[in-house]
Amino acid sequence: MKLKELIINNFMPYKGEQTVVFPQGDTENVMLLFGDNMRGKTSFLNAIRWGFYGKAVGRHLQSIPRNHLVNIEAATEGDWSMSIVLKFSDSGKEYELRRQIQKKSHVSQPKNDADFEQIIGLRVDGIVVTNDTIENEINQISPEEISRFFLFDGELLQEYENLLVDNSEQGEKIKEHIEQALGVPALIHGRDELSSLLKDARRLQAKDAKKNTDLKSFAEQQNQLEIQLSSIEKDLKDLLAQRDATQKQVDDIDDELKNTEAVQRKKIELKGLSSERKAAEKQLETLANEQRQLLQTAYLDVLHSNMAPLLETIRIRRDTLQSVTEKKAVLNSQIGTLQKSIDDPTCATCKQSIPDEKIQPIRDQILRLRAEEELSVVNPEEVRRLNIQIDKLATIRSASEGRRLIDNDDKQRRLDVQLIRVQSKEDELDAEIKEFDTDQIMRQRDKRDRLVGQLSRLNGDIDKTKADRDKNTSKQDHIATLISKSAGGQGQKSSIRVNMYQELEAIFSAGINQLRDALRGDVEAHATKAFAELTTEKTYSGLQINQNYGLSILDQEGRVLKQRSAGAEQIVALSLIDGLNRTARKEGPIVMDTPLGRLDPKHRSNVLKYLPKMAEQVVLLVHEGEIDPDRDIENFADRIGARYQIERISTTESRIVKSN
Amino acid sequence: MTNKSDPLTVLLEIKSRMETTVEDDLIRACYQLQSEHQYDKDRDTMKKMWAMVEEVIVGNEDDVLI
Repeated sequence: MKLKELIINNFMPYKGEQTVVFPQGDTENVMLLFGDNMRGKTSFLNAIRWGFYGKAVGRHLQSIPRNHLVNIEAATEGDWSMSIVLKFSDSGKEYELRRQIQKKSHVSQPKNDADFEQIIGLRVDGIVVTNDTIENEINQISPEEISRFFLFDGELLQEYENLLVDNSEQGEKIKEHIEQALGVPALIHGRDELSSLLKDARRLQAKDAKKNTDLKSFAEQQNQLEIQLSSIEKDLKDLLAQRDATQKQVDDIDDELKNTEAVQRKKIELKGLSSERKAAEKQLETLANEQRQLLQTAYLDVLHSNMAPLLETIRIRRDTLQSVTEKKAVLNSQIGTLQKSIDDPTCATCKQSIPDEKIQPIRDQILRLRAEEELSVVNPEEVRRLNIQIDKLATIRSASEGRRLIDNDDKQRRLDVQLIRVQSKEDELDAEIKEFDTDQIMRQRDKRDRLVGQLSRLNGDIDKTKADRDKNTSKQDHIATLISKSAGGQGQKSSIRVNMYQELEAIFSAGINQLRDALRGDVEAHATKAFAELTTEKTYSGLQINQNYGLSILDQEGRVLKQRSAGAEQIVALSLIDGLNRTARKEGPIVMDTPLGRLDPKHRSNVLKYLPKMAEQVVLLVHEGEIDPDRDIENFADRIGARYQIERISTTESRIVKSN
Repeated sequence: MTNKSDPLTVLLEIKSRMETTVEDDLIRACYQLQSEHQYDKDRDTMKKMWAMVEEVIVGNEDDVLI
């Protein structure tokens, strides 16, 4: 399929009629539509989607209501009509599809989809197609289920990461879409219908068996199992419905939380600031207490610094006096000993008299010592007084109160500044989130957590119920085979029918798994080839696909890379899209909205060179931050067949104009 | 797309491996029908599947009678 022309009228920001002609060249196959954020790139993508399928989608692929699709300016002027005309070609035929909605005549202000009527028309090679077959005709050319791979929102690329997460709900949905694109549903539908027909056939066989005495008990068992199966299938249906409803609740909360992400971040920041403020206040309180205690003894620190030199002087004086006293005692002792020698001049050992000429030097010595002793005069009162002074002054001790008080002052000043900063930031954040019910946001987060737990339990129950169902059908198959092989059942038409359905169902069932494996191999090979051209890291050995079609990067040793950047994720997702497009059974254009958002210049250059090769026709909806019109265009200038620009008229109105 | 990832080739290969009595033509017809209508909004293929199988059963019955 190839897009030829799109005529938009009053769709979202596009007021009035606006026409875009798509390039038809084989080499010049790229169309560029430049537009700033909020100008209408995604609306352009939605215009194509709505034209084909009557559905425009927002986040989580949720439908946008019709009254939001009509351009608000036109609606204000009373024009509640909107239309999209898509001209395209497929398999040599020319198609013109027109889809239009307009307010019902009796409705004054449309509030929901039912307030509009839809008119749809299709011409194939100029011949009008009847209304009831239009949707099927479109679905044959471009099935809605696979539209996510050609109408492609680049901002949702990270969704493909979910394919790497086992049992991820979103991953399951994408996997389903991938398999639809790859043609697996033909076998799945075949198996399901054969399974249903087999059930009817078994019932008929059991009915026949009931007439035969030998087979009656088998028939009875078969009936019981069928009753059980009905009950299991009902349970399964209920569980699946519950899971869908719960998932929808989670998606709704995610949407709500997404819109309040900034508020949540601020709320968390506010919590942090509150803790910071409390800690600072507590520190200030501790410092104030310490300050009070220091002030009580601070005078000692002042006195100590003045008294310390005096104390030292007194101590020296006291020590000097004490040494004089000690010296005087020593002199007295020496004088006493010498005096004894003079008073009794007899040798203590030999008892002989000491001659006079020997006595005289002793007398001289005594005289010298006495003179010295007389000079060593100490007033004991002075020593006592000095000791009292020393004791008193020694009680004046310093705990460095002065220095500590200065340090505390510094700390207090710093904390005061911090406190003011925190309080100002708190006030600022408070004002910013005042209008939001932040408690409600937190409640919704809790609710989401509960619902996710519920989903996990439901998935467990679903798996168990499916296992019960499989067990039951396997028992029924076994009994049906026993009946078919028994004398009474062999050759019976009902048994032949059961055998045939059993065999067909088994072939289709086995086919699904074998086909999946083969397709995964093909997707992996194509994606690896694309990845080699897109990545700037040439040492990677390739990509590895898992059961869900999730792709992991393999390093040079063939090991799975555990961590990858946002840019790498985008490259892998683009490789997957390429792999899918090359493996898919339906070929078509690729329309990509903001596909280069997270890429560095080198990757962007690689992607821009590769994109024209991804499909017969490539439409890129980009802003100038993604593709620099002066620098990046040269990467694929020879492939550009048409270039448009979205111009802002007002906040609610944009216009698409052709540019050079 | 490689041959081994062609759904019909896969079905016929499984059939020959399983050594079933179902004819290739019936598998081909069943797949063709499902393939043509796999993206239909309101699929109504079950009756046609049933009719195809019945036709084969009746045909086999006739062969036995002859």
